[in-house]
This record gives sequence, C-alpha cells and structure tokens, in this order.
Amino acid sequence: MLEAYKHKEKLAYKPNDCGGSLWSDGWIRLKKNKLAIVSSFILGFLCITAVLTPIIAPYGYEEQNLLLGAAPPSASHWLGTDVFGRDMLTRIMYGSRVSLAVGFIASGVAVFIGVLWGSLAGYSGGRTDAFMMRIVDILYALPFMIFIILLMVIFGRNLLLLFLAIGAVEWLTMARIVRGQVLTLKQQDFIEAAVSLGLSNWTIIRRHIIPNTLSPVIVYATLTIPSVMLLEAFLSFLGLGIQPPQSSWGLLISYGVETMEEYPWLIFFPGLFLSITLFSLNFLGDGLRDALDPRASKD
Amino acid sequence: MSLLLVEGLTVNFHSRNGIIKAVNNLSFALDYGETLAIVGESGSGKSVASYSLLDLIPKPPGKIEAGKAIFNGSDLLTLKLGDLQKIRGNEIAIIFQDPMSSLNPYLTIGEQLIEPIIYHKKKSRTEAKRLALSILNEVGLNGPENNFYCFPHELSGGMQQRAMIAMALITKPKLLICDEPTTALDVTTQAQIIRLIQKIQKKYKIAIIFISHDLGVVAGIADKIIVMKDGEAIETGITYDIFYRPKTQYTKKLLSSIPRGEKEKKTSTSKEVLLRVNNLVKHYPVNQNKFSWQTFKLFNAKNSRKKYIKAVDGVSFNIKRGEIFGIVGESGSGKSSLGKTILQLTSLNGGQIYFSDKNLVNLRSSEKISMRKHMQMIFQDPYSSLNPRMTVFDTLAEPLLYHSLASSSNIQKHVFNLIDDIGLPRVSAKKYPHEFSGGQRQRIAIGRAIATKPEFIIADEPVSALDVTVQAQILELILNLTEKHNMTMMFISHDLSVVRYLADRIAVMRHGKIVELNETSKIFSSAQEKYTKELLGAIPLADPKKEKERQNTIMGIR
Repeated sequence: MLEAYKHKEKLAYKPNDCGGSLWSDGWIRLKKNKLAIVSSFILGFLCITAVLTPIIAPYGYEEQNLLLGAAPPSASHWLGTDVFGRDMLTRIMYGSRVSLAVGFIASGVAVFIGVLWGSLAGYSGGRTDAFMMRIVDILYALPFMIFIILLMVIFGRNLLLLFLAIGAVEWLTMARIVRGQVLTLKQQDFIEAAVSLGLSNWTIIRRHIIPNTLSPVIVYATLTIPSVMLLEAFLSFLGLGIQPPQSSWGLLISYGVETMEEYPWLIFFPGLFLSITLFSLNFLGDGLRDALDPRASKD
Repeated sequence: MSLLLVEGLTVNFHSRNGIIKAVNNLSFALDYGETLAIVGESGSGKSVASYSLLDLIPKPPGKIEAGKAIFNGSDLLTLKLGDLQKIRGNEIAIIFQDPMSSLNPYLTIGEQLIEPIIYHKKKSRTEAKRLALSILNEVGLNGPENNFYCFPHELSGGMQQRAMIAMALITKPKLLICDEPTTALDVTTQAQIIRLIQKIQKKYKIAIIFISHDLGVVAGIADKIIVMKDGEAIETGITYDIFYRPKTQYTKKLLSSIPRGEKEKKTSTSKEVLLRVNNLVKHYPVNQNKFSWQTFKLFNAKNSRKKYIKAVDGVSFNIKRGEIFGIVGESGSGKSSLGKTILQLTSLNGGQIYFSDKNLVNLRSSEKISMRKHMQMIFQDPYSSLNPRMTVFDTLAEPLLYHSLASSSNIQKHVFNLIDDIGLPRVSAKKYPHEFSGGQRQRIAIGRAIATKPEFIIADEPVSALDVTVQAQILELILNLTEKHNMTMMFISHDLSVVRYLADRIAVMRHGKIVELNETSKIFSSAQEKYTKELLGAIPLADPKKEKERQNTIMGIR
C-alpha cells in the first residue's frame, strides 16, 4: 500500500507531470524571484569559499607579523591586518567556516526538532500534547548556559557538540510556534477529510500539516540563523566555544569592538560579511515563503 | 422626493491585473418605508454597490468613478469624512451577514448598543441604557435584563442577529442596509428575523436595502427588486413583475434554481439495508469554567458532576442501499455530530453502527482504514475542506494512491476521469484551491469523496455555503454521481427544500433525537409532529402572492 504511495513522491518531481506539487511549483516560482536567486548565489559563494579556505586563503590563520601590527587595507593585505599583524581576509575566511556551520547546523537541528515536536504535540492533543509541551516548558526554565556548560563538561569541548547544544536550545520556540499553527490547522475540515480518507496519522502530519506550517517556520528559521551565530560568539567569548587563534565572525566582531576607534576596519569587514549573509538569508527566506505559498500571486 | 436617489453609480477595483468593474452605472430610487432587494450571485457587485454609499469599500483598490447618491438632499459620494460619519450608523445603518464576526467579543451587548447613542445623540449613560433596554425588548431579546450584560458568545446565532438589528435601530435610522442578514441562520430563525425586520420597518417607516443571493428569501419582503450580474443591473422592477413576468434569461435562471418539488423517484429501491444505526449516543462534555474545590480533588474529578451536552441522544434508523436519506434539523440539533459519529471521526458513547452487517464500533485501526474506502464525507465549507497547499491533482490522487486503487503509471488517467466526472476542465489539475470559486471547490471536494468509489457518502450541508444557482448545479451533480456510481447517501441539511429535492426519506432531528421519519412526500403532505410543521412553515416560498397570504394568516393568528 505504501509502495504505491512512495511512487507518488517521485512522480511529483517530474517536470512534465500534470499535477505538479508544492515543491516543484515552488521551485518554479522561486526562480522568478531575482532577489532570492541572487541571495542564494551569494550564500552559495560564501559556503564554497568557506569549504575551500585552507587551499585558497592568502595566509595561514596562525601567521603573525608583529612588526606590521594593525595595518589598514593594502595591496598585500586586502582587508588589513589585526594587532598581531594577522591577515583579516584570511581570518574572516576561516571565521566563515565556523559561523556558517554553526548557523546552518544549529538552525537545522532547531527546525527539525521543533517542527517535529510541535506538530506531533499539536496534532495528538490531549495528554500527549500537555506532556510534550511541559517538557518544553521545563527546558525553557533551565538556564541554557548551565545546560551547555554541563554538556561541555560531560562530553568535552567539541565543535559539533556545541552546534547541537545550541540547536537543542533554539528548538523550543520553534516547537511552540508550530504547535500553535497546528492547533488552528486542526480545526480545518481538510484535516478531518484526510482522516475520513483513512490516511494514517503520520501521513496526515507529513502531507497536510507540516506544509501548511511552512510560512512561520521559514521566517523564524531565518531569524534563528543570525541569533545562533551571535550565540556562538558569546559562548566563545566565555571560553566555551572555539579558542584563538581560531576565529569566527562573532569573535572577530567582539574583538573589533574593543579597538573600534583606532582600527575601524577590524570591525567593519567582519560586520560587512555578517550583514551580507543575513541580508541574503532574509531575502531567500522571504522568497521561499512566497514561493511555497500557492496563494501568493502567480504572475 | 425620494429618500435615496442613486444615479449612474460606478465603482471600479484597480488591481495589478487590470481594472475590474464592480458596479457599472447603477441607478435606483428608494422612498421612505420602501424595501428594495438587490439580488445576485456572489461577485455580482451587490454588496459593493451598497457599501460604496457609505464609503465602506476598501480604497484602494476600490474607487468610485462616477455617480450621485442623493440622500436627504446631500450627495453621499462627495461628503467629507466627518459629515459622512454623522450619517453612518445614525441615519443609515447596516446589518451584516455574520453576526458573530461583526460583534466585538470583548464587549457586552449593552455596551456595544449604547455606544452609538452616546456618540451620535449625545445622551447620558443612564438615558442611553434605558433606550437600549427598550429596543432590546422590541427585537425580542427578553432574557433577564434583556441580555444587556451578555457577551456575544453567550447568545445563539439568531439572538446575535437580533442584537445586531437592535444596534442598527437604536439611532432610529431612515435607511437600513441588510447584507444577507439571514444567510448564516437556520430556516426557522430566518423566518423570525425577516418577520422582525418587517415589523420594525412598518413601525418606524424605515427604508430598507435588502441584499441577498436568494430570490426566495426576498419574495415576501421586497417592494422592488434589482437583479445584478457582473456589476450590471440586469433587470429592475417591482417584485410581482420580477417573479411572474421576468424579462431576462438570467432572472429566469435565478428563479428556476430555487429548489422546488421533488426529483423523479426511482421506481425500485432495493430492500437490502446498507447502514443500520441502533440507539446511537454521543455526548460532549461541557466546560465548566467555574472555579471550585473539585478542581483540586483530582481523584474525585471523575465522580464529580460533569455536565454533558447530549448531541446525539439515542438515534436509530436504517438506510437502504441506493437510497438518499435526508437528515433535517436546525443548528445544534446534533445532525452533524450524527454524521461524524457514524464515520467514526469522533468516538461514541453508546449504540451500534452496522455497515453491511459489520459492526463499526471498536474496530481496530487497520480495519478502520480499510473501512474508510467504503464510507466518505463531503464537508460543508469548501474553503476549509481543501488543503491550500495541494494541487487539485494531488488532492484527488491522494486517496487513490493511498488505498492502492491506482498506480503511478495510470494515476493520471484515473484523476482525469474524476475531473471529468465532477465537471471541471482538465487543466484544473495543475491549479490550487484558491484559484477556484466556492462551487468549483465543492466539486473538487466531491471528487475527493468519490475517488475511492465508496458505497456510502455522508454529505454534511454541502450546498449551504453556496449561491442559489451554484447550489442547483451542485445538487444536480450529486444526484447524477450517486446514480452513476450507485452510491448510498446520507444528506444532512437545515434546508428542507433542498432535502425535499434529493431525498427518498427524511428524518427530522431536534435536540439529538429523531422527531419524525418518513418518506419525503409524506413528510411534506402529512407531517405528524408539530415541530416538523413548524419547519415546513418556515421555508420561504419563492412566490410573493403566497408569501403575502401566509404572512397575513400568521399575523392574524398572533
């Protein structure tokens, strides 16, 4: 029975399929949104350079030039150097590896757990719902710093674990948002229609509930990414995250703030990269939200 | 000199896709105490026309392009906002379609009622309250303190509409605009509300603009009728002319779509019983939000006095194969709960349901899923019964694929067959629900319900959210499909004339019980119960003369 159903999923991606589907139609609509496409190219470019950094970076990330000190942008150091004479472009490139990874992985974890948890709780209702949401409440009440420090103490300092820990804190709000959406969706007749068609609960959640919660999820996800990037900087500042001479955008910015008056380029360039990324994320997020909503104008 | 003189009113909506002519060159005159009915399908511009008189249309995109509307000597369309606000609610009042959404849920009825008197008439609070109480009495809200301190949700739909009428009347307006004031109400309540509006009109000599999609409703109340279509006044005339001597094709079509009489009965209905419902009981617990010590005694909670609403209270009947079984009742009679309980969409508190001699109660969930193939449901509101993020193709393909009635190779053929069946063009497959009108959406919902070729379908008020003309088409479609696929149907409705048209037998429900059950013709010719007779008496006759006669007899009795 389910075999036939899986075929359907494949069928939906065929370009000439008469049905189309939310995703293929969404893709067609997204392609028409220039801002979103440019944004995704910028994000793609940043990701590729982040991956290739060890090969293409002009200097090593530990290379110091104490004689040079903090120098403004020049031909040999395009974005200037910091107080230890380290090349800023190199440091920003290495920083993007940490920042983008934490942004995407932690937000991904948050969205995944949050959407699943929220839709399960909201759809089940009753005691299951109450139980699941009380867990969320309890986790909310725990000071997240203690939670993360505890994780670090138990499992040792590990970058991936840090990402997961941040994600594990951020999904709480997502779960609440999704649950609220699901509660209103559940009132709609099409969910009852799906039940009377005999669909299983999981199919209903996957095909009827989750696609209809996408709009707020996407908007919240694009807000989560910058906040986890800054959270990482905060944790690193406390000595829980990455340590110098490794760098991340958040760390570079927080160091740059200290010397903002003497060496403005130390905050300007990391800030610029962070802003570009956030702008692109927001444009892409808006584009995705519109593209995945069939009711948005189709022209 | 008439009270309101509208000349050449033209309203356009400027959208990205070009200009839509909502109202085109509309002219009419209205005297004191006169009733003008504007009739048309949704989208015909009937509401826009009346709302633009008070500048209540959204601007932009709406724009009043031309025309005059002389009310009491001043042109409403050129008045300054400040002057217009003195007329709004004061000299011209509006009653909206949905009373629940046009009352503020956070204010008591009384508070909302005295607001316009204090604002417009500059009266003191005590004086305003005295006025409000007398007007509440007049519209028949006779609860303690005349429901003055009630919140809107504490009143039924009919009572809410009475409160709305009180609110419109309290400033003693000269003109009352009623925008489908009874469409959201039951037949019996509709009859009461219309009688109330007439009574008040007679007493205060108020002119009324009555907007409706249903010619049947306006037959007894209107002096003049404007039939609108696509923003144009297609036909204008006095009520008798419109009903007895319609000139245009469209008016004739509107008149013919009012369901009258019965369908041709099939000569042979099989004797085989498909569905047997035995003493079915469904209770809903009532939330008692009152604070009590019981709340703390968790272990006693089960034994404490919990209150229940008996939605379905011991109902038994049989439905034969191939039959259309009508269930009629007002809202709150438990007819929808009955449908949902039979389909096992909610649990039940007692009784048995046999479907082809198989007991449906306490089925295992795997058995339930395979049962669902054979029993389907059509929902009332086509706007919420379709997933907005699924194309028509996906919506129709889902049941077929899920129940393995089609494979990925021939699914397209199956879906196209369904689309042909429900009378939509095949290009619709690619579209999403929001691109369709209400009637088309209901066709899609019907397509989904018949996709698995079920033997039994429950239709829960499938046409009550639709215009009269569309209603006729959908009823025709349902009738054709049940015959074509040899389906059995349980048709739930509050509208007796619709059920009469379709059903072979009718059960009348009230307070969760079946009051009367008989063949359709017998129900209509010789109803036994008083309640059934009441329901029958409330059906609006689409015939001004008969309606007048009936009104006279009713007035005579009282």
